[in-house]
Amino acid sequence: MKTDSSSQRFSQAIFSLALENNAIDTWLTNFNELEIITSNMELISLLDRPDLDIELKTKIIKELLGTSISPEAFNLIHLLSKRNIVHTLKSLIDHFHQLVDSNKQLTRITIESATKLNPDQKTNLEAFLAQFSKGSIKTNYLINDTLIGGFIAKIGDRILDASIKTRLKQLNQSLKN
Amino acid sequence: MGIKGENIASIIKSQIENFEYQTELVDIGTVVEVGDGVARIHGLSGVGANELVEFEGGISGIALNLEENVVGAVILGDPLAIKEGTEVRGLGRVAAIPVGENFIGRVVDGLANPIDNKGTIESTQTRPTEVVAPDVASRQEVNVPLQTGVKAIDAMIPIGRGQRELIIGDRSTGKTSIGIDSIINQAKEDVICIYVSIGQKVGKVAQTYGILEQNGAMGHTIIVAANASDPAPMQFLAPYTGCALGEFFMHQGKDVLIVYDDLSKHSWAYRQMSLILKRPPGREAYPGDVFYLHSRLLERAARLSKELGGGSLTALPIIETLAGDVSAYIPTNVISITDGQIYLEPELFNSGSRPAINAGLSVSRVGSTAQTKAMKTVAGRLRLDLAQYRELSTFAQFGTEDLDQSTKSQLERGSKAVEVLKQNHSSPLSIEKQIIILFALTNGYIDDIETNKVQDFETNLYEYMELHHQDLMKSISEQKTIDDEISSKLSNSITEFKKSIA
Repeated sequence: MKTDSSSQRFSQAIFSLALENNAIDTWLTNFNELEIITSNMELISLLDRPDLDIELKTKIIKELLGTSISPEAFNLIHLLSKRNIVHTLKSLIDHFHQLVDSNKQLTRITIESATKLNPDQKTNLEAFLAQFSKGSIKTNYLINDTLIGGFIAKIGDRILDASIKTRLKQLNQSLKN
Repeated sequence: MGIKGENIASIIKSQIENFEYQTELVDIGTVVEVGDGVARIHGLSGVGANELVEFEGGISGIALNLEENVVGAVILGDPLAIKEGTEVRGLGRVAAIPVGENFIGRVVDGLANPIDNKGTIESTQTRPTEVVAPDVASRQEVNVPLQTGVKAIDAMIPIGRGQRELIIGDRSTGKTSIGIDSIINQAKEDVICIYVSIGQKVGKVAQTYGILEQNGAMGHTIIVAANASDPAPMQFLAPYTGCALGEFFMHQGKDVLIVYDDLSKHSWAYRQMSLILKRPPGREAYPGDVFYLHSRLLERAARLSKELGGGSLTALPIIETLAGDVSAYIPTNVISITDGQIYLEPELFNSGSRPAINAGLSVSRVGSTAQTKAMKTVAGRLRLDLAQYRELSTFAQFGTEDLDQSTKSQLERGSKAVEVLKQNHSSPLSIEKQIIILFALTNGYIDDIETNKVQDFETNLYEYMELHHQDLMKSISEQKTIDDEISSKLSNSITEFKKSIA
């Protein structure tokens, strides 16, 4: 959730490196492999221990990941564990995904609706939501029956709330006033 | 009751029918950290500085710190209702409060919500709490007096409508009393008053309300109270809310008096918020913009030009000093912002001369143009004489036998002046009574009265004048000058009175 500014710097650096070498896809697969680390809190705290020798840490990483990742990605983990900031890896990867998306002019939109939408509704909705994006959109549909009706679209940090739940809340407020 | 069941139903029906809801894109974020009345929010990338935000559950906040990854916002409500992960929405507007005539006579909190159990306050208009002060072109000179009803102030440190006059002094030296007396005196002056209480004990606010109510002053007064138990952001907002309420009346061409009691506690609240928001601390741990905090508030006091209706907002900020230290950070700041100060001294207060105004250290930088001619005539040299008397009286403590005649008479006159300027709290005096007693003082009619009998003389003189010389009092208050005719009439009537009591 919370992105550290240092992880943003790292992901920007990796992104520009990937652009130069035309290796964005390689990095994306690398990051998929690194899920072993990001999903294991104990491993993260072990690699973040300042009292542990860096050589030992390198050995652990090598044994764990072997040759499944590129030398650049290995260097990244090496650098992070040397600085004891492996815990920022997850937000680093998240931010890298965001950079890749914005480079492709892709906007990810999460749509919550009370009931499952039929294909017609989806096409209409996507055509409508396309105006909020400069390029293409990628949608992710969720069902949330507390909304009663309508939908909520989350576009990055912004939200388009057209749910019955919120309308009723607003009506309630206006009657109170 | 005038409203029948079906009427209520039809009102609700029309409200539901006319209900409009606009779906629009709003900024959202999530709370990542909350504590001490401040929330740190991730997201809200499009939020503006000072923008109002709404937490899930309806509590509002103000976005104050816009950092690279997080937004720091103060919470205007119960911070316990907000948890990590709570959703926050940007509202796209700055904090605004409802304003209107209906607020008069009410007690409201820092966001103008009623807290006096007298029901909701109907209003159709709102005003932002933070606005830019009127510019040069929309102002005019301060030249109409604001009568406080306190002899020592109206005579020596006159205040004009649109002025900012600081009341400064140690704890329990009568600072609040001066503010309250000024409010009470406005009942007959047609000035709307706002008393802003910041960080005071709830009991003290209730007491103040009681005093104002007893003296019939709530009919033209609004109390804005952010008490000591309220969160710091509410205490921070209260003076701006009070000022916005006052500006509503000022822009209608009315005269408004606003008392900020007190700005020391206001700066404490702001210091607390700033430190929790991790802004760098400066001198006395106050943040760098603590000067601007008060200057932007007090600059909003103004007398508007005739084209804008000629309304005015007079501000009486109060500052509490510690052990008489006027050179501390906040006192010097506010002294430099205001158009003069009324300095209250604990020594004077304890020696019984109340209000305990130090005539030497108190000044009014613009008030003299606002003083009526009559008052100028009778009180012209009073401040200087009193200051000289204080100097001389220190020497005179070693014995008065060896002093020359003029020094002795100066001492004598000074001690009478001190007696005349004494005044009980909550008993403001009309301008004509003030002029009569000061006329008697400066023309030597009180010189032969024993010092401990001066106050009896004063009350009896007022009674006598009201009984026998109503017309003279009326002409003083109407003409506002003392020409030869009024002067001789005054001399005669005072001589008559002195004969009657001899």
